[in-house]
Formats: sequence, structure tokens, C-alpha cells
Amino acid sequence: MTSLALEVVGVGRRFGGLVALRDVTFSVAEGEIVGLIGPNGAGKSTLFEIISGNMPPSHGAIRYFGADVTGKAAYLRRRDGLCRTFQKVRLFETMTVEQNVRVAASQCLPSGRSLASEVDDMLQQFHLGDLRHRKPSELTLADRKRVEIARAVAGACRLLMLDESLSGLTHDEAHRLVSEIILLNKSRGITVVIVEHVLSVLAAMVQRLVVLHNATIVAMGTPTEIANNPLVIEAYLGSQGGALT
Amino acid sequence: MSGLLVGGVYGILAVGLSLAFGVMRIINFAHGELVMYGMFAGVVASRMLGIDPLLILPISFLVGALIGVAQYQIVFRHFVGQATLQQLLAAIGCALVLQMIAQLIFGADARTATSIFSGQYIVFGPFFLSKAQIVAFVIAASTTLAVSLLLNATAWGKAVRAVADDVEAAEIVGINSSTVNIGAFALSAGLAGLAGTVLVTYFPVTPVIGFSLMPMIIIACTIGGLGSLGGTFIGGICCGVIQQITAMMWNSALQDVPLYVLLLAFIAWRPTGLFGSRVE
Amino acid sequence: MTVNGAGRPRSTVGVSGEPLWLLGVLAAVAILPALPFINNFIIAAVVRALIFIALGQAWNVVAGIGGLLSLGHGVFLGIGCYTMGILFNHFGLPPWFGVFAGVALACVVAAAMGALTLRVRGVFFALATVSVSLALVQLSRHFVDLTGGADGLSLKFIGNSLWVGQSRTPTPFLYAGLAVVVLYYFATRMILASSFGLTMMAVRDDETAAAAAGVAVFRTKLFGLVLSAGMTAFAAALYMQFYMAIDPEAAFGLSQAIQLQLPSLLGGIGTAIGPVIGGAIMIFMSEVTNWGSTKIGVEGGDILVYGILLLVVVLRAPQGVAGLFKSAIVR
Repeated sequence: MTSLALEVVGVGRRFGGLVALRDVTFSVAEGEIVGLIGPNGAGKSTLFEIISGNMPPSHGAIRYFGADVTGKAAYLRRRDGLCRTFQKVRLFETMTVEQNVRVAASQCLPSGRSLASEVDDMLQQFHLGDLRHRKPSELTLADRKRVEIARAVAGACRLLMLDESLSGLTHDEAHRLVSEIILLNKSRGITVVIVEHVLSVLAAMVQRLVVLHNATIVAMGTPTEIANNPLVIEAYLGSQGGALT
Repeated sequence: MSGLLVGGVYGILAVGLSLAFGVMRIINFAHGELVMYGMFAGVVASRMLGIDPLLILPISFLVGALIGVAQYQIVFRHFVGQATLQQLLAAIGCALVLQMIAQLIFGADARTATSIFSGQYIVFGPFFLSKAQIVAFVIAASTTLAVSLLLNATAWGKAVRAVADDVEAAEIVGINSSTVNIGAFALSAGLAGLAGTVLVTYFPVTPVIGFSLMPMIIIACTIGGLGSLGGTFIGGICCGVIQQITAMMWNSALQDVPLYVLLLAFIAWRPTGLFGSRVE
Repeated sequence: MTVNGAGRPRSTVGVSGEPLWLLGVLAAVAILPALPFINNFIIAAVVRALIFIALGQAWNVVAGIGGLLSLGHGVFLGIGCYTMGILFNHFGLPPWFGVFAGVALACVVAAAMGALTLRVRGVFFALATVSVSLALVQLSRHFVDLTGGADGLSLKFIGNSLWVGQSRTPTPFLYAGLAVVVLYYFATRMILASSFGLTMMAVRDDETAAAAAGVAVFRTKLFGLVLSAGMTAFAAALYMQFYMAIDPEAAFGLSQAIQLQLPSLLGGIGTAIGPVIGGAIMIFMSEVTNWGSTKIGVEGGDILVYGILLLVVVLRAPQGVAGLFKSAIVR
């Protein structure tokens, strides 16, 4: 029996009078790749911030490998391996690529492992070896996203949450990144939750999809099930038609 | 009671700083220097021209606003939207330059100005009140009210508030944010100049007075809420009243100490102040 | 959201070979007293430069590497000076011990200030540092028995004595100053190369992303502030023993705070070499302007120069002199 990596239990969030999330409940099994989709304003980002610990939920709980982490600080969740990227890439712009990865590795490395070799492994795994002494501002968007993922994973990672990591990339770049993410999942056993609002890119890599619409979950299932779900089609066509294709 | 009056003037001193922060997210550490020039305007009027300082308030406003626009064009337009270390340092640089210019023009000695109300007192129940302070309070309160009206009831005010809320959205609906910023900064600086002239009717001016006014201005803004004008005014009144109570119950030389404690407490537990709503 | 926007240092790694030529310059400074045409007047000016280099190096740790907007670092200079002075004048405690009391007190105050103000946005921390330093101006004026009030506190002069750290000639302070500057220079390089330095820079660049990289943001800022406060109070020992006096404005005033900031700003903020270059330039300029303004008979010329320098550096050369050199080499 596989254990659950992430359980989101009855999570809700209000901003003043605005309800951003209403009673969201789902779980992700260890080793899974799950997509979180929904039109703009559906509450994906809010949910992401709550899971990663940057924002407290108004009610509900977050469990991570069985432990309640609802009140836990973001950096402590990261040290336990709950890792994330940002929708708009956020790197340490005055630091080199290597330093970006090293700072995360140095904070999150389990005792007994070598910092230098962890940093080297990460840079190699994401094909950043040649760029290690460059500043982020000199990199292409695809490489910046790669650095961010390397930084997110370095040290210790059990659950990786990717926030629109594929958007803004060319078709080829996106596919290359997808294969690297799948490799992470297979070789390191990292569970992946990926947010996108375009379904087509996700269909090939995820086992399950969770669909958010109007602050709540409207559907869950395999990509095929979701693509044929009338509620989902309506949600998308109702707000921004054609996003499914 | 006289704490209330003094506090009203703290309020008008601070309102300008709060406005600039609310709209442009910048902290003008040279705000006290603008006040100082307003005070010197009052001195010039009273001592050299023989005019009552209170009659030149519009000119003081103009003096402040002009220096403010120069400051904005040279320095602050580079920092709109970001209260960075660089912005704060540049503001301090401005303050030093403005201080030294004043010292070259007016000399380092303390100067006073007299209005027709200076040195007159009235007895009101158990209170013994300076007429100059009463007049200063009335001017401060009505100016704050007028500025609030300006921001809430005119088209220009609407544009300013739109820029304060969301620059990009304001630009999309056709508001030129840099024009609005200059205007708002001029208003902020003009208020400082006007407040200075009011203040100088009962408080002497020196070229370096700006830095000693700054803590009270900062505290009034933080208690009331940076960016909230009415809140800042009330914050100023709180400062005055607390000072007065401390002076009566404890020690007048240490009347500011509780305010500093209050400042730290607000920063730690309620950085938005009493009336600020903006969390980030 | 991050508030530390534009004008961050491009590079945090010094130019290679930097220690070599720097050591050459410092060696030249060390043999100054032996040269025929050097008098005490010049040595005293060099000592002033070394003191402000050391104070600038201390500020650079928290503001340059850590990006914290501390505008009131005079708080820690003043605490160091007053603590040492009071302990010496009232209890006869030599500065060799007094300095550690000053460092300890500065660290405690820094920790308390940081604990209250570092959890919220950076600008509030800046406002708090300014307000606390101006509050201390008032407090130190008020407690006349302890601090000498507005006139300040003068150390009792005993004569040339190593035990109480006093000397009629500036030469001993030249060597003490050199030692502290060299120590702080290598300490800064070590911090820049360490994991702790990386976390400070990460926090400076982007607090949210730093937390997402596992950095304990609040604790990092707090530790950086305490470290910098301790370094400032330690360098304050040089200041106090050399000047033999401290007063509220010299300790906590904003113009003094600016003299603590200018060295790294002029030289190159966030670098190890920056405060060393910048402190030398700053004292050179202030000596020249003070000499010039005494000739004309105007006071406070150095303050005007500081104000203008501050504006020019922030607006035109945010990387300081080191940054200018670097871009010249790259071109």
C-alpha cells in the first residue's frame, strides 16, 4: 500500500468578503504526478500558497505524509521536502546559478551527505553545468525555470509543486522539461503536483487531474475522464473557451 | 487639551509623508526639511516683510511644493513604487543638502516668527491655552479635511487613488501615472511647507530642525497608518495627547519615550496602524 | 513581495588578486610613521579613515550583504562608546574589558529591536532604526549624570598607557585600526563565501523565494543584525579611545549614521573591498572640505559634501567605485 504524500482537507480561504477557496479536499499518493488545472481566478494560486505555507487557510488542514503541517512555517516545510516553484520565476538575481542551488542545498541537506556533490548532481541533472557561474539575468527563460526547479529540489525533496513551469516555453522546450520532470519522479521517487491552465501539455505526463473552478473542485480523474467531463468543458468554455485544446 | 492642539499640528506635519507613501510607496526623509523651509518662509514674512505669517500660507504651500517638485524630478522619480535602501538613502542625501542650503542662507541660529496670535493665551475652564496653538490646530484640521475632500470628491483625487491602488490598472484606463505622481508629491511637499509656517508661529526654527521633527512625523504615520490621511492626522493627535500626559504625570524631558515604545509596538504587532488597511 | 528592488550589487565576489594589492597598501600604511615627511596630523587623518572603514565594514554586513535597511546604526556605535566610557570614568574599568560589555549590550539591543521589527516589511525596520537612534539622542541628553548630557562624555585622560588604551600620539591607534580593518576584511570575505552569507544574500534578493529554498528568513536577518551590531560596537572602541569623547549627536545623530553608511556605498556595497576604498575616499573628502570651509569660514561643509555624495552614488553609481572599476575592466 502506498502512503499519501499530500492531503488537503476541507481547505477554505476568504479575502474580506471574497471567497477564494471553498471546502477543497483532495489527496495525492506518494509517487504520483497530479495536475491541478482550472481557468484564471479559479483559486489555484491561493491553494498553492496555502499548501506551501506562505498563506494560512481560513479553515481546513494540510497533511504532508500523514503529519499535520497547517501551522508550519514555509521554510520548515521546505526542509522536510515540500518544495515549490513560482508562477513568475523568482531566482536570487545577484547570485550565480550555482549559488542559487547551493543555498537551498545547504539549508535542506540531510546530515551525512556532501553539499558539494549534491550541488554538482543537481547542476548536472538539469544540464546547468556550463552555466554554473552565470547570473540568472543572462539565462533564457527555459534555463531560468530549470535553475528554479534545481533550487526547489536540491537538498531534500519528496513533493514538488510546480506553478506553471511550462508556460511561456516553446513546444520543444516544454517537452524537454516534461521529460526531466518525469525523470525526477522516476529516479528520485519525487511526487509531483503541477499547476497549469492548459490541459494539453499535461495530459501526457500526469496520472490524475484535479479541476478547480470558482473556488472549488469540480472534477477529479484521469486525463481522459476529465476531457470528457461535461462540467469541466462547461467551466472552461464558460470562461475562456478553447483552453482545453 | 493642549496636547490635542499640539497633536493636530503633528498630524498636518505627517499627512504629507503619509500621502506620498500611500501613492508612490516612497518615504521622504527630507519631509522635515520641507517643513523647515515653510518655517523660514514664515520667518521671512514676519521679520523682514512685516507680514503676518498666517497670511502667507498659500505662498508657503507653493514654496514646499516647488522644492518638492525639484526633489521629485531629481531623485524620487527613479524610485516610485519601491521604498528601497537606495531610496531612503537618497532622501537622506536630499535632507542634508537642503539643511546646508538653509544654513548658508539663514545661518545656524534659531529664529522665530510672530503672528497676531503669538504670545496670547485664553483661559478655557481649567485649561490655559495658547491662541497660536488653537489657530494652528484649526488650520491643521481644516487643511486635512480639505485634502481629504480633494482626494475623495474630485476627478484628480480619483486618479490619485487609482494610481495608489494599482498603477498598471490606472494606466490602462488612461491615467498618466507620472503626472499624477508629480502632483501628489507636490501636494505632499506643499502640505509640509504650509505646516511649517503654522508651526513657526509658536516654535523656533533652525536649519537642522527637520531631523528632530522626523520621529514625531514617523510615529504619527505609523500609529495612524501609513497611507491613510485621516488616520495619520488622528495618529498625530494621539502623539500630542500622549506627550502631554507623560509630561504631566512623569517628566516633561522624557515625554517622547512612551511614543517610541508605542512605535515599536505598532511595528511589531500592527504595522498597518489604526486605520491603514493595506497589508502588503 | 520583495521591497529590495533596484540597484543591488551585481557582484558579491571580489576581484581575484584583491587581497594582494590590498595588503600592499596596508603595509604601506603600516610604515607611514617611519617616513620622514609624515607628521602626527597626517597619521591622525589615516586613523580616522581606518575607524570609519571599520564601522563601514560592520554596516556593510547587515545592509550590503543582508539588504536590511538599517539607517540608524549609530545606535550601536553610541552604545559601544557610552558603555565603555561610563564603565571607565565611573568604575575605572579599562577599555579592554569595557569593549566587551559594549558589544554585549549592542547585541542585546539589536536582538530586541530585530525581534520586534524584522518580521514586517523592510521599510518599517528602517523607520524603527531611525526613530530609535533619535530617541537615544534625547535619552542620552536627559541622563546627565550618566552620559554628561548634551555636552557629551569625555574619557578621563591618564596619559600614555596601554592598560587604559590611551596615547598622546596617534601612532598606536594606526596599528590597532589596521588590525581591525584587516580582521573585518577577511571576516567579510568569509561571510560572503559561507552558507550563512549565501542565506543573507538570498534574503536580500527575495524573501519569499528564500523561504521556499528552506532559509529561515527571520532568524537570518536577526542574526545578521546582531552580528553587525556587535562588529559596530567593537569598532566603537577604536572611536572612543581615539577621540576620547562622545556626545549624543556624534553617537546617535543621523549625520553620524550617514558616515557609517557612506564607506560601503562609495566603495561598493555588499563587497569586501568596498568599505575599505569608500572609507578612505570619504575621510579624504571630509578633510579637504573641512580645510576648505575653515578657510572660507563656513561650518558643516562636510555634511553638504556627504549629502551630495550620497545622492550621486545612489543615483549614478549604485555599485560604488568597485563597481565602476569592474565595469571598466569588463569593457
